[in-house]
Amino acid sequence: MPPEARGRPRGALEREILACLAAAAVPLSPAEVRDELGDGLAYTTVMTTLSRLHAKGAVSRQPAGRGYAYALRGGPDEAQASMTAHRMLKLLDTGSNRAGVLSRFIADLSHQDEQLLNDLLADSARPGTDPP
Amino acid sequence: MMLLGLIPLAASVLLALTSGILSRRLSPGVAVALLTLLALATSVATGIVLCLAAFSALARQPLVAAAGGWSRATWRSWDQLPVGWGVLAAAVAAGLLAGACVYLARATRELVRASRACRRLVVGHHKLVITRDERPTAYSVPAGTGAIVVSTGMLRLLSAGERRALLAHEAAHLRHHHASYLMLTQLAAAANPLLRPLARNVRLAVELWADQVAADEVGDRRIVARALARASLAATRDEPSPSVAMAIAETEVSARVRALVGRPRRLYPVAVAAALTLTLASSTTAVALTWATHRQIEIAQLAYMQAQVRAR
Repeated sequence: MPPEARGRPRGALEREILACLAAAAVPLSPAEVRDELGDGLAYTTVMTTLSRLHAKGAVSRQPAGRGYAYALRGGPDEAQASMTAHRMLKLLDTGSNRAGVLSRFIADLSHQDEQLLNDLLADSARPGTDPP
Repeated sequence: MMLLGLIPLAASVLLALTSGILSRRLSPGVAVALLTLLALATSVATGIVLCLAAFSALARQPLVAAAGGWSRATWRSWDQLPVGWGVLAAAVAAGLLAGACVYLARATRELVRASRACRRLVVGHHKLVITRDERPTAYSVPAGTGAIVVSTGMLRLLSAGERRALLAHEAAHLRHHHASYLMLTQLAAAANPLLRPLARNVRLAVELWADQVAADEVGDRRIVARALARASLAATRDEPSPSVAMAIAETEVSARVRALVGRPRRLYPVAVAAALTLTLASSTTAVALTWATHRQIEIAQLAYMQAQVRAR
């Protein structure tokens, strides 16, 4: 494991890079991905991980300038994966997940919760605090 | 004698009451493991005691005594539990066992279904599945090798740091086998409904555990709290939360945010010792009653055989 990826379990950097590409509207160069992720990652670490993801067919790339720009791969497989995931989501939403097989990141909110969360976000909406 | 059988019931109620404090105050990993163990032990002890009560009352009935070959009189001098109570205990035990079986069947069916869906998803060893969906959703599926499913809507909502926190949270669920703890406690609660509040608290503690792992990995608890806040608020805007959630004073999300921005937790040896003592007491009761009942059967059988010999 390269020293830059320390503190991340196996597969975590790949997940972050995939998530970064999915959140971006346009294909990103390795330098752009590194800048977006921040956290002192080295260019070579990002580059290596992107190449590995490309080799595995998880991302597509197109020539851009002297290198490549990467995007999340969209294709028949991806569409099917999306459909399957939707089915599972439905399973979760209809409340048939009573045995607790899936863990959702978010739960229902009360009004007090909303207030608390809005305060929290307002508190941290100062410069240099990792804005969205 | 059978009054001792109330100990596991009392322990269930007390555990349900203290599980809230334990799940919030203990380090979440310790709380989850401890509560799962206590729930299973208490649930089994309750079941055993109910079965013994049922058996002990029914053993005095002429037909049962004749079939078992034991003396009714000897038995009566040992235990005076009314027959009605025995029948009730038998009915309750059967109902609870059925509840546990239904839960097991349902959990298995859902796991198989999720596992099949997982196999069809394109999952590398990064285990991430990104769905093209504007609604913000994120969850982990423990079936097969495990999968983390996140929608593009969720990813666009968050900063890079918050995305890392979210992914670390979901990965922690898979890495630390949180689904197993959830299923075991829910199984215990299905077999002993008194433990339902405990199962809910384990669900919360599991989320707190994943939040903590994410905070350790990202190195900043506030980033995890912000990811949670942003995701939850956006999801609520999408579809208004049901009125049930409004009635609860402190819901899961606010408890999690408070845990993240509040002071770090510490171990409470007294609370842990109390919970362990309760469970030990109910387990010991179940074992002792089983042993005593077994011994009573032997005594009653001996009395029955002596009576037979004398009659000849």
